[in-house]
Amino acid sequence: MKRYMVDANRSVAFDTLDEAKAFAKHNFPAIILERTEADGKPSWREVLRFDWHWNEARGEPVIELW
Amino acid sequence: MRALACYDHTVKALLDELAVIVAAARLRKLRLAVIGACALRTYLSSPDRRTSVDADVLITTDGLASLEALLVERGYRVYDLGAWHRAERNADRLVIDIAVDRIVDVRSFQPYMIAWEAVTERASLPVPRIEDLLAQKLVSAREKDLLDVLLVASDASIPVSANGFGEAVESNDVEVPVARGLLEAQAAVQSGRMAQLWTERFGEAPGRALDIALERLMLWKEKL
Repeated sequence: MKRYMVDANRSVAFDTLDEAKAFAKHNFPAIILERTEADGKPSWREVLRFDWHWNEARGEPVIELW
Repeated sequence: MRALACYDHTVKALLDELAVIVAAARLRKLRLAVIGACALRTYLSSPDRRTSVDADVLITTDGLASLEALLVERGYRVYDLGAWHRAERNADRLVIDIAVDRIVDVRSFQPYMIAWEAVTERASLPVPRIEDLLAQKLVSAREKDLLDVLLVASDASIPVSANGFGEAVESNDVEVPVARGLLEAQAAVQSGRMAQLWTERFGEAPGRALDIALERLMLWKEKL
């Protein structure tokens, strides 16, 4: 079972976060989930997303990995 | 079938926050509905099979400014993305996407309107009827949407009116995108892709669940 899953148009699982991030950057908007185990069952939590995000420095929303 | 695990328990924080926002919106007499995954999970016999890392809500144009003020008071930055507004709170990474009057699928820009009189109270949240939620997910038709639809269809305890589904689709004039979504779901089941995703997501094979779901989907399709 792979550790990461990216939810975008397709939901694709990856072994590494770098692979997941690369896929996410090509599939906006995307949410990267990380798999954990609880009582032998998988549980997923968000670790990153490639999506709109308010950029304080620019004073506007931008699409970025955050 | 035993309960399946899926997502991290941090969804509780999101749902708690949503409950506070709904309560505050009611005090302000705002017409608001919770949509998307947070609404869908109120229909599931095992809600933790499906949750969301963010929340989607629907508000009317005349309630938007008041909702935004409410969210700003709660520490959110709110901004306009055109088809949707977004509220972010960086301290706990909470994201609330706000649809105004209609729910727009961002990939096709297909709008979908729900009948406010059909919004019901479930798990203390105002949510659309299940037929509207399913139709929206079939318009979007991302893989996770198709999995959601199949998850509902595989659960015989969730009453879905085929006639109500057909009427919801017709009233929104979305017969073509919904039919396409149903066919994509069918192909995803028959190719084995949904079984693969189900297993990755829930940690166990679907067994007969997807076959049962597909039979139900085809009944809904007959109403289009």
